[in-house]
Amino acid sequence: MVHDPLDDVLNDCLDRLQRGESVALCLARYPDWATHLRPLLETATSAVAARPAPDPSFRATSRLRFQGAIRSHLAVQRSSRGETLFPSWARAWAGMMAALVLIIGFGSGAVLASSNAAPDSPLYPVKRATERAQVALTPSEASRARLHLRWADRRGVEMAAMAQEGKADHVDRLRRDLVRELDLAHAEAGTSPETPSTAGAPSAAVPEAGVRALGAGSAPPESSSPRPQDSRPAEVPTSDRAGNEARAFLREVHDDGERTLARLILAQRKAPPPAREALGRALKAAQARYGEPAALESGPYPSPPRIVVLQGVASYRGSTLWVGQRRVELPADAVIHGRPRAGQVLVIGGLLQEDGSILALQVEAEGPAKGAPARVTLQGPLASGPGGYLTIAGYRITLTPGQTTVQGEPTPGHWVMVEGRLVAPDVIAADRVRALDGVPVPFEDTED
Amino acid sequence: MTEDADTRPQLPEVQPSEEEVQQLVRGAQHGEEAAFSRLYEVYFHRVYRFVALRVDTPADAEDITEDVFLRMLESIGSFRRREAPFVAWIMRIAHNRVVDYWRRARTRTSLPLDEAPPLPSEREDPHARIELFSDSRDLQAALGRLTDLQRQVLALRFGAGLSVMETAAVMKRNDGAIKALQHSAVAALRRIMVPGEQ
Repeated sequence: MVHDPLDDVLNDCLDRLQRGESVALCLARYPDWATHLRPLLETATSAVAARPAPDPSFRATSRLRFQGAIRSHLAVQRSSRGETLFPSWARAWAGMMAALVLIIGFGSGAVLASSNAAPDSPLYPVKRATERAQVALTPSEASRARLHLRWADRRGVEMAAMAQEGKADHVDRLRRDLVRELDLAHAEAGTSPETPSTAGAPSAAVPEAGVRALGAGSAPPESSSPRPQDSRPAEVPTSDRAGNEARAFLREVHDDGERTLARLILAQRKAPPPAREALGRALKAAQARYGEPAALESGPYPSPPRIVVLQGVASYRGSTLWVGQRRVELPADAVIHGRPRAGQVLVIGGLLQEDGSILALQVEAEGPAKGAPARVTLQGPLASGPGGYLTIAGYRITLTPGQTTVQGEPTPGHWVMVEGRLVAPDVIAADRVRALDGVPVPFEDTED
Repeated sequence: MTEDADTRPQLPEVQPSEEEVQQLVRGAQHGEEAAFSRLYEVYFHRVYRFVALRVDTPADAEDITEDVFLRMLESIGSFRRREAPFVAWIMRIAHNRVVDYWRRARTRTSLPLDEAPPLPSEREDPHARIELFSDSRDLQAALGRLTDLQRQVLALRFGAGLSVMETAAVMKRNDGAIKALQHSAVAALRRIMVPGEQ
């Protein structure tokens, strides 16, 4: 093949263009080649300018999915390797046997594939066995307690998914598993669930009694294996450090609980009746263990009310999602249905955060927006703000006599739905306010 | 979540040094979550652009891009520096996914006519435009008329921003062959966009 010197000249110029040099300067460098070079460089620069860029919404959701995949991958890798230092030969033996059984019995591919298995999947027992192996391989009580919390969180996610498919029997089974994980978590940590009166306020002091030493080196463990929860008064902490660790753990329980309870509440929106009732049982059981006061029935909501469902049009600033002028955070474990692109109507269910943003737990893309983008629909506990204004999730609700339709008796502390226009970033001029019966409902149910 | 590079100027892109990449790869091979995340951030745009220039639709490009990173996660333990630079390794994964895509696509029906962008040469007076390609669909339509090797070399050089040496590693050819292929590809693209030009 005959070598064409223009191959090298063109390549040198393309490299220079990539470093920011102009076409004119490149042509000046190679005046003898300028006639041939110019159309080629114009074509190349035009092609580079037109190359496709990823949709910001894809980037945001893809990053989340990848982060979730990293965690699952690393968790399975760690449990399969069995490289932890074991405090006792018995734990090591149990853990290695569990890992070996998993790897020999199912193969590491099956272990990896099972990490996202649903409770009705044939791979689900592998997932649960992997979880047990991880616990068995974890040396400290504090770490085991946190693992049990994580598994409880998973059961909540699974329960929400099963409820939406109407699988009430799975919901009931998962409820028992969730309760067991929480009991084991408290048993490992030596704590007991907070009483409702203290749990609503994260800054409230955790009673010193009711806390056993938590964390490596804090106090001699009673046993190296989890003990069942009992009703005896727990030991008084042996040191400030132990007390602080226990308080930190209870805060984690509270935060996890808030997410799980919110997930279950949101799942009630679309669950068919038997599954909805099963979810109600799960909510009661979970509340008792997480220590969150009753937030779900028709009674008043805790203060501050944090669970919110928002329907609005998606927009992006950079790769940050905004809906109804609210920034929406998408954590790695958020459940996302469809692709939440800009201009799509999204239903966001999640927790209102202190800075006014929403921590999304589930996102549903419902299709392209047809109406004005400033229109939003919101469900959440009604609150009475400063000056007597009604608010939901920090939005001030204005009612106009003769224009706003009010259905039922929306009162502060109860779940309501508001439809209206965003007339300012935090103000909704309501067209309709409707008192709901305790739990969120699908938005399509409101079209009557 | 913070505002990220999407809102900042894209060219010229600042890429981490080879040493930094090697450090990240070692971290990922030792199971460091942060290293995997950083590798994703570093290579996301480059992988996406490479794939998007070689397949039909943005949705296909998105699916394949996600798949590439999942495969990176599973097989990073098999990466060896002495065999190729990391960028060539990950682009090789992307290339293989694209090849699979086209293998499956043979059995698919073609794009409906009303969704297919008009080819540039079918338009009136291409000289009237300052930019040869009005958007990415325009560019993709033109690339679709190149040979597979020509399309591949442009996707690696212009889409993923690879050097000639890195492109040669992905395509398993020498530097001279890549330069010649690149030349023929750009010239062919020019002929498609400006058909009457001498």
